[in-house]
Amino acid sequence: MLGQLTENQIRRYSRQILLPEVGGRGQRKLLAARVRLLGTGTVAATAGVYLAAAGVGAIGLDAGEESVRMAARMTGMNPEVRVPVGGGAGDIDLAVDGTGDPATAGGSPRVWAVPSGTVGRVSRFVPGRSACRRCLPPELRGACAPMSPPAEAVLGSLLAVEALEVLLGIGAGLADRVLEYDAEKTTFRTHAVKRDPACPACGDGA
Amino acid sequence: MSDTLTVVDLRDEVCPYTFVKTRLALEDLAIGQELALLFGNAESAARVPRSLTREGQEVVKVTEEEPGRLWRVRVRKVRE
Repeated sequence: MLGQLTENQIRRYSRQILLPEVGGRGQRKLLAARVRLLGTGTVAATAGVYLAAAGVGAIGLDAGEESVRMAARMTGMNPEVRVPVGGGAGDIDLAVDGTGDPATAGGSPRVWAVPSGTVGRVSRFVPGRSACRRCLPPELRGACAPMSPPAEAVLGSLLAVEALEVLLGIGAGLADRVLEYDAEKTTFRTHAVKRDPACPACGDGA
Repeated sequence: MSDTLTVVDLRDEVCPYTFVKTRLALEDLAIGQELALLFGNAESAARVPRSLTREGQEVVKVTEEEPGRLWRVRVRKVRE
């Protein structure tokens, strides 16, 4: 009855439950979800706060002092979520990658965001089905270079939106597309991309 | 359909939780099943049926059972 949510959960997530694409079923999916959040900069920290607020059940962080502070902010926002630091989220449904590190391409289902100076990029990787970061041409892969903190927060918000869509199973989102945010020109554009079957990180022989 | 009628008592709730709980209760039903909702304030008794209609559900009947104190709204789920 009432989606098997507790009274506290109904009150905490009421606005989200009212969204047609979430509802009680979607909220239960989020509460049962386990993600690994990579990175401790503004991109990852912003995504982390939104994922915690949305009620993503377990959000594992990297080890380290900055992660401990991030975990405190996230559980301060929502004491119901588990935020283990240094592993502990168990088998994950999704990696949420705010590191900008190309070495983290391929592997598990992943959403990623990379700040590159005045331009930031966000995309989604579905193993065996869509392009990973290593599949991309260098100009779209981007090198990690700081953006202004509010611009990185925009990327972190986009990363959280993308992660929630994956966890809720709604839409193809940014699979095989790279969203490019140019903070200097104040523009958003998307680039269609293709999986590279010969990619060393996610290709058929990887 | 009276054998499948579920009654949801929302007399102690106010907006927006009356509507949130109505939506959650509807999720548990199959298409064609009905719910009876009990409200304890006029605002919810007016707003929830409006919202249900806007979302494409069928409001079968709204009855003020005890003047100023108790309203019963019957709704049929006609879409997910």
